[in-house]
Formats: sequence, C-alpha cells, structure tokens
Amino acid sequence: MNKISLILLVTISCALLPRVGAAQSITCDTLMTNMAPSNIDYKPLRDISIISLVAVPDRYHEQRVSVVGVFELYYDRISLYVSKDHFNADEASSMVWVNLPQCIDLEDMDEMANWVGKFVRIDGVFNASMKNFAAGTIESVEVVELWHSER
Amino acid sequence: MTASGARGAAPDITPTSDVLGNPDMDSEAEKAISSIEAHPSKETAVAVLKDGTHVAPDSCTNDGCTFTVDMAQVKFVVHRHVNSDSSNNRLARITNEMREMPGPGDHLFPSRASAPNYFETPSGAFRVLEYTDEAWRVRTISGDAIPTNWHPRDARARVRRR
Repeated sequence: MNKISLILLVTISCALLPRVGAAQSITCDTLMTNMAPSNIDYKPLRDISIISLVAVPDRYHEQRVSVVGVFELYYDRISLYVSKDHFNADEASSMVWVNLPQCIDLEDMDEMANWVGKFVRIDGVFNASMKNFAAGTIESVEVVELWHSER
Repeated sequence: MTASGARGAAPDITPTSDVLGNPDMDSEAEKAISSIEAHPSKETAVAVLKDGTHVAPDSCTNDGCTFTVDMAQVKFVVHRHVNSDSSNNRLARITNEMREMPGPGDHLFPSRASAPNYFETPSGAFRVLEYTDEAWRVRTISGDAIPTNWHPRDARARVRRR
C-alpha cells in the first residue's frame, strides 16, 4: 500500500468512527474572554445560584455569570432548569434560556446531546429582559461544561 | 444533531382544551405580520388581544421574542422565523430547516394563553401551531405543505446516529 492510500484509509476510518474520549467541556472565545480585566467594559465572572437567577433576574441583568442547572438542548438554543424535578415537569418559569455558543459545530451539538437531563455549568452574560416565558437568557456563552458529579 | 424522539423525561405542558385558529383569524394574523417590517437576523412578532389591540414584543433575538402581556387577553400571536445567525454553515442549514416548523417554546402561548401561535418561516410559508384532540397540529395556510404532526420534543436536539 502506498503512502497516499494509507493516508486516505486513515482519514476515512477516522471520519467513520465515533469520537473516543468524549469532551466534557465546550469553550468559545467571546468579547469578554478576549478583554483585559483593566478594560472599563470588563465584567468579572460571578458564581450565581440558578435559584437566585430565577428568583431575582433583574439583579443579574447584564452581569457575567457562571450558573449550574439541569440541561436541555434544542436545535438552536439551550434551556437550564433549577432542578431535575423542574426539568421533568418542563416548568419554563423556573428555567433560563441559553444561546448556543457561537463557535460550536455539529460534533459539539452531538456531544452536548449526551448531557440532556444532567447538571451543567454555563458561563455567559445574563439578559433579564429576554424572558420568553423564562427568567431570562444567558448570551455570549463562553463555557458549557458537564458538572463534575455527572461525569 | 437531529430532533428525533424523546429522551428527556419532560412531558411538555399542553392546553386544557382545543386551541384552534379559523379563517378569520388566519387572515387577521397574515395581515398583522405583513404590517411589520421584517428584520434580516431578528424575529419580529405581535400579540393580538381579544379587543383587537396589537402588542409589540419587548425585544427579539435571532431565535425568539419576549412579551409583557396579559395572558388572559391574548387572542393569538404571530411571529416570523428568520435564518440562523450561526457562523457554522452546517448548523445554520439544519437550524433553517428546523425553523420551517414550530420552534422551542412555541407551544407555550397555546398552552398558557389558549392562543394559536402563527408563524412565517424562512422560506416564506405561513403556518399556525394548534392543539386539537389532545395532539399538537401544524396547519399550513400558505406555502409548502409539511407533515401536520408535531410535538414540542421535535425541537429538541438528540444524538445523531453514527
């Protein structure tokens, strides 16, 4: 087998095989991740309970938040529920919408599809005014990560 | 990524009785959406109340709009799906195809306000999400016909078969 055939065979095999070693985190650069903390527009990342976010969303409007909740994936967005009970009940008023990270591809969508119903951490900027039946929307998403207890 | 079958346990809320449009409502909805200028990358929408008042959304993004409205007074809502703003071409193409059908959360107005949810698709079709005989139904008023059966779980993304 010559070198070109071998490369071709390896390439085709890799394309057909499922990915090994599933990723547990998806990270995208955003305006905020690329900004120096000394910049006047820089927002520090704050750990916020999803219960607080749902209870008093206006308090966190336009803040850069890191939130843990139960994950649901749609073809063009994510929703994050307070608890597995709320997820099972499809209780929209106790959840937040989350925009898909801008840098993801179909393989990342496949990876995230494995996380449905599990606790996931999401970092991004919260918009309390974009409710659409929920508490608000996390935009400019930097991180979607399977919570350590779910791995 | 495809939307196929239920994997999560979420049962999805449903209306307590039938939620149906009618020919008068269809033409009123079509008139309402055509009176709003389309935006290339953001949805546009209006909620029409039982007294005929039109309520504009507070804000809209590429995938939805949000309203402050008395749910008990909503007669119907109408909105316009737009092409995906994803920078990934394959993801954008799939999203655009999915937006020919109701999207995530589109069942909430029918469920919570008993109001049919009309929508214009990226291809220009005009459809309405209704609920009848304990099942969701997508009725096409104009444009390419599509299967009428739909369920909120169809908007979910699940692992593709490899």
